[in-house]
Amino acid sequence: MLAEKKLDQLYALISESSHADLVWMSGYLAGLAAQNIPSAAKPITTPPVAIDTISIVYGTETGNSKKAATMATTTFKRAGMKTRLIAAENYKPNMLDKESFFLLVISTQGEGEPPATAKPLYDYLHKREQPFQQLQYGVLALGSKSYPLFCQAGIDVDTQLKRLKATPAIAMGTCEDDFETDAEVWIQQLLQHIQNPLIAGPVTTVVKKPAEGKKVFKGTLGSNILLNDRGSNKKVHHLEFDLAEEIVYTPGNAVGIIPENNAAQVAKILSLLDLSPEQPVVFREQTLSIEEAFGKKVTISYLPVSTVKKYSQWLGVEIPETRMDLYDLLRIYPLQDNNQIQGLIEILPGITPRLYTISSSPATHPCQIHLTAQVHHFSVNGDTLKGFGSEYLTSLKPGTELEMFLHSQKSFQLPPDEKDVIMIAQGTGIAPFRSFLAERDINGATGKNWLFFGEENRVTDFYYQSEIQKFVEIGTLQHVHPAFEVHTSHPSTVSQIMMEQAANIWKWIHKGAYIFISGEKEPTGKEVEAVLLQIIEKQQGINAQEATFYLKQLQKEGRFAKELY
Amino acid sequence: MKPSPVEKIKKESNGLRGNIKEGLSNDLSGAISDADMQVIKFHGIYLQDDRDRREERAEKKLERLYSFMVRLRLPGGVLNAAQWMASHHIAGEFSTGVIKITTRQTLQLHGLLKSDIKPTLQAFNAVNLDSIATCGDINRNVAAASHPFQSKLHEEIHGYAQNISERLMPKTRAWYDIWLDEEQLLDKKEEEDHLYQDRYLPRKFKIGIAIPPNNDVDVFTNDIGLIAIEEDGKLAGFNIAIGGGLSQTHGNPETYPRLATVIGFVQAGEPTFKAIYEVLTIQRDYGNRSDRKLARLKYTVDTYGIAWWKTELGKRMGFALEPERSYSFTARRDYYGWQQGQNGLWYYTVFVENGRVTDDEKCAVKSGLYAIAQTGKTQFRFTSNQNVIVADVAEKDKDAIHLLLEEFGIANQTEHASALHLNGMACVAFNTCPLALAEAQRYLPSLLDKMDVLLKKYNLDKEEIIIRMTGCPNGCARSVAAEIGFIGTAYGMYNVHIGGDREGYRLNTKYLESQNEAQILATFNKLFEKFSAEKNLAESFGDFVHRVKIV
Repeated sequence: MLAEKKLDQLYALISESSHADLVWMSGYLAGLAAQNIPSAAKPITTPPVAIDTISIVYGTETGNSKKAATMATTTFKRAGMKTRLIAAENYKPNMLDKESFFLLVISTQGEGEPPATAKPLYDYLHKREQPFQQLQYGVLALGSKSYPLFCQAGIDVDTQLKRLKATPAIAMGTCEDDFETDAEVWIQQLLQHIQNPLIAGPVTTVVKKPAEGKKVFKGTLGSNILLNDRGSNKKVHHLEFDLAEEIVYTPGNAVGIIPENNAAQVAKILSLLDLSPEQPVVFREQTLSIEEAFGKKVTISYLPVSTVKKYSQWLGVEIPETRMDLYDLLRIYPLQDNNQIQGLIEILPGITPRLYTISSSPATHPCQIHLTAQVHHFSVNGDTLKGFGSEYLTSLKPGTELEMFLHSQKSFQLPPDEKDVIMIAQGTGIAPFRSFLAERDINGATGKNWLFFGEENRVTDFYYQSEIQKFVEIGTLQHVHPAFEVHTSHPSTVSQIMMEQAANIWKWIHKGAYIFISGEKEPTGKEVEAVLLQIIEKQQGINAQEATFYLKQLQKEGRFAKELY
Repeated sequence: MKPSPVEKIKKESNGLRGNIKEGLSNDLSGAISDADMQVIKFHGIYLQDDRDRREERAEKKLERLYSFMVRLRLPGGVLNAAQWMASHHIAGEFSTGVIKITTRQTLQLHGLLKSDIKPTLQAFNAVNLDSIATCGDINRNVAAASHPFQSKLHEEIHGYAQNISERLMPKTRAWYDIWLDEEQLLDKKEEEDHLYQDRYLPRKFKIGIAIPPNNDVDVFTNDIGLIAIEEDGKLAGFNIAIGGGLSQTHGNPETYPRLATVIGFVQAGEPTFKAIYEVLTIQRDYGNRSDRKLARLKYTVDTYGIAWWKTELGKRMGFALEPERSYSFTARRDYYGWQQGQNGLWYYTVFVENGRVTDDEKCAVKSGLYAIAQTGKTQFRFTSNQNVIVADVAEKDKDAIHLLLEEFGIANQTEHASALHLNGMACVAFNTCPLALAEAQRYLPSLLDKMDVLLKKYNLDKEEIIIRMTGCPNGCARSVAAEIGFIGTAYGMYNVHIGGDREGYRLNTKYLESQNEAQILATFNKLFEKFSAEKNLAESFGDFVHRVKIV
């Protein structure tokens, strides 16, 4: 390979070098070689399949990788490609098998390590044995020549991907401290490569065939994250369910979930009644065990007054009009004998499904359903009770399989891509808008987006903050107006901020924007609607009645929709 | 050469205003824009984030837990009792609660949320304190010898620190206008800055003043070091040293720590101020503005050479420097406990480990100093070793103050700390410093405990070895100017430096690279054994390893 003279020089250098020197040199030379491949735009290999969506994942410590990844996202989007940008810590490595094109932007820390947030992905690639079927990828490595192991994390990942039979579109790019120029050049090379039809072949989008008409489906809980940070008064969970098959839904849809009763509570009742869990009972013409009936079919906690009343009449015992748990009811006013169990089951109200608006986007999160659920607390006679449905959902452990069904909310749907959208959310009301934004983002919708979001504490309760920031950076979201009460220089509510923005909101409405409100009815929903009416009244110069009519018209045209609870 | 991006930001900052005001009211993020991050430094404020919380917050889809650090301008490090009490309350209300005494005699508060900065600075302003130019590419807090008992020049020297600080402040009213809502001047002429123009300096700039024989300010580590020369009981003037600076970058051989070079003597008064001013203008005009890693004065000094500097400085001053006068440093330390000043007043130097004024189970330094401030009978002085001096106590009040020092465990802590702890120093590092590669102030005390065991084993526990740790090679705690220095390279790993002298004339030398704790302890077990067996009488550890050529 090398002329003898060069070889001698190399050996001389090696013999004087420490182990650390050698490691550094190998990394340095690899980096150098990667940069100097004659015309890096030339592909090493030809992509095996056409590219549908580009997933850009970044692992960052100082924020530079994020900036480079954002540059890439903007570039590909401008070129009309479907692109999603994901932080490494939010990326599920098992998605790699489904990727059409995977672009990783990664920096190197300390002694050649990946950033902490990219460690799980990095480890996954190093542990994985099974080769990829058809993964195309690109790696853009950031590093500093001041450190011995230049771009080592990027080199490692690139090596692993190759080992696992993934195909690099172009050779790994490396960037130094002033990464912008290097990154720009490499991204352009990658874009050229991907766009060149001679190489990439005609882009044929594979239309996935969804399970049509299927309304009930199963999801496995992948992760259950409390979104609020330490010190918050709220408890809002983000749940990600993995689906075995693709379910067709549109942003704005909800899923219904039938919560189950607390197993300990069921056991307590069975023990009070001294019943075998297997004892059969009939529930809605179906024979099942008493344990299943108490566990999954009938309401046992915080029974409504009407049920308590029915029980009192049926048992022939005087019971004050109140709500109480079945356990307490049976303890204080016991059944005469266990033959009455079937009768009891018939008195108890069945468990009703709870609806949760989906917070994922079908295009950005294929084969997944994300939900955003708040644990509701309310107090009864001085006791704090938790909402049954949300408590059940948010305490599920990852790995749990759950049955759910799709519920479409026809009026609450994204307008055509070119329309502008104003989204007004309070608290968990953000759920459908996360879906809207992700969907519009990946589809490259040209309409503008404006988000109002209200919660209590800026530091701990800004749901999906990093994603919202990302949507702003890559230009999907034109305006964001958060309204917080704590840790802000101007404590305010959503409706107050909307008043400040009245003129601009009117401009949007006037130009045909669609308006969506999502969150609790009281007080936000009502306040926001009142503010909208005021804005219309004042800006259009009409009276209150006319303004109400105006808003009703918008609603009829599908330009104003509410999802309040 | 292309100017570094920071140069453009400074120039376009509209007198250090940038878009800070807009950034403060933007609730999309707890941070501010990248450009404003540079500008806000000139207001004594750094954007940081809690690095312990990064992964957890990322999983919650929240941005990093951003907060700000505010550092006060306190030339010579003096606070009156009312100012100390105010700082105590401000720290409790807006920051982590810890009052951090820095290695440059000022205090800084960490963990302020964006919405807390303004109320914090307004509260400081109410007691006549500001944070102007304590960070950024500009002259920073001026340090001065801390121990009044050592010289009757002490008070006069502190006047110089104050005077230099004021003369080298930027002319812009941006600080008042952003933080105190002062009306912006219509006539921008009043803000015209002949010293900094619109470019400021190429990089940070530090000035320190020492009064021999104690070099407690580590005078040679400053960009400009002034060494007070006393003749016939009066201040004759200063030996002026230029080009000190300890920061370096791992793996970048073009960067290096350097001690300042004495270039001559200058008469007290206006000639001194003139000399300092013109060193700044030369650095402003000749410093490297394209590579920030090579922009400190030390590189400008080495690029042009001492001879050129003397000539250029003479030209700009309109008079020549005189030959350096004789002086001698014999120590570089704090004197703990009570000392009587030459003015007859009393001074108690409190040992504050790594400068963190807070209450813990052993010692309620924070509550104690507050109680002492409440008496109204003292001032507070900070040392360059991150300690606090309960200062200017009249003879008649001394006993009462001492009772309080005892009541809160402060006297006990100060009088019973080991020599190693008393002469130790660490920078902030994790969890807030964005530059840190390894722990420093959270880790050094436990390492010192383990090294104390070794010292005891070899009967060396009375040795006052200067030992310092920094979480990165930037040197905030001056680790390369210590007899033993640890410099973080990666989490849990340190380069071990040894061989600095006790007076501050000689830097240490890198001895071992990237060592973990077990390796560090094994190394010092051997070194201390050798030191104990072979040391000359009164020979310091740094001098010993140097003499026997371990480094």
